[in-house]
Amino acid sequence: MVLGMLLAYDAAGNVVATLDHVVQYDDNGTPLGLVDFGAHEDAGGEMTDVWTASNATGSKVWPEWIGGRAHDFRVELVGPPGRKRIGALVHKVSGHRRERAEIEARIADRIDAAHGQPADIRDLVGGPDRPLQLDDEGKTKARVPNARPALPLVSAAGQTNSRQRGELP
Amino acid sequence: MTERMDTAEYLEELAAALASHGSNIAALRMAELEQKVSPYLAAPGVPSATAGSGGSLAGVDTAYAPTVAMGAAGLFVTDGAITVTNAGSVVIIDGTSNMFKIQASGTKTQDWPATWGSAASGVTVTGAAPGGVFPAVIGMLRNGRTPDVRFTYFLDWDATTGPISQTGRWYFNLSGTDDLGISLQVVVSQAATGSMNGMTAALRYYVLKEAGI
Repeated sequence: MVLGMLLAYDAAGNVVATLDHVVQYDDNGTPLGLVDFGAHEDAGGEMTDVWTASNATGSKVWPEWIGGRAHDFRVELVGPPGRKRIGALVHKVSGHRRERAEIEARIADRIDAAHGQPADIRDLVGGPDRPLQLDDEGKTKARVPNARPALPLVSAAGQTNSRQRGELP
Repeated sequence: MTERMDTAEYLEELAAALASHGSNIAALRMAELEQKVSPYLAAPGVPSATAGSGGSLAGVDTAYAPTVAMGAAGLFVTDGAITVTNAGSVVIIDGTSNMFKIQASGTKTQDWPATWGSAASGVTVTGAAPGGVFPAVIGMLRNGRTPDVRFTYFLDWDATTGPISQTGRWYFNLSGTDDLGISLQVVVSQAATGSMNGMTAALRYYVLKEAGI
């Protein structure tokens, strides 16, 4: 299974739209599952089966979620005609390259190290609801927890607030 | 501190438990589950005032017995509900209310056109296969990387005379059918000043599906 986000690009390779995820439901509203963009692409499927962007010339899978920052890049396609994939994203200002081969190698290493157990790769690829955070040059930066003001909080289960529990001065 | 068994003790206990259940792991798990929930259950038809440590089922109609099952796919309650009650609120999951689930999400950009120009582009999500309930779409607009939402561009536009002050306007169109998918179009128009030259309108969109909870 190779999830990831879909990028749509214009003739110059500039990203003009993204699709982070799609869930299919049956007619009764029961969720059937996430659409596996990567598997569809690997099987030779076209992303026009999933979506279209009116000002795009093509759409392919990218194995990370980088949110709206994707629009800061242009795509580089690799592979033979009819089987092209996005080989790299190139930052339009800094020229920084996000190489697909490096990303996939890091994912493979993490999976190997898990010895058959589920491998946590969220810090490598992000997710639809938690895209990787990039700096102005297009490089991944550390995820910094949001600072929260030290105010008393009441949890639903407990009946004391965080100051009464001694968690605040 | 919780006292921990060593591996040999654990294996011995596990083997004994499996033997007592005919090596049926599913039966063993169900037996463990029944043991854990038994303090909270009353006999059918008998209201319980004190049902286990720290809990009470007083007033609950225990004669009505929904089917509860747990498996690899999660917890299943049939012909019943899940109720969470505490001092702050009561939350009931019983299928009678509706919520929105995010069926698909993404981003869209559109370069601003030249002075007195207009430009539009959009996306259509066809892979969602909406099924019986038609989804909705919401969007948020921003300009370039400035993390603000400039709805003032709407206010600067007069329907009859065009732009009132300067700049321009942007908006988005939503359309779609169950057969063709969900479409979203970004439209930008610039007025006389050209102050938007070289800028890009951008938004994040969500395709929402109404679902019961």
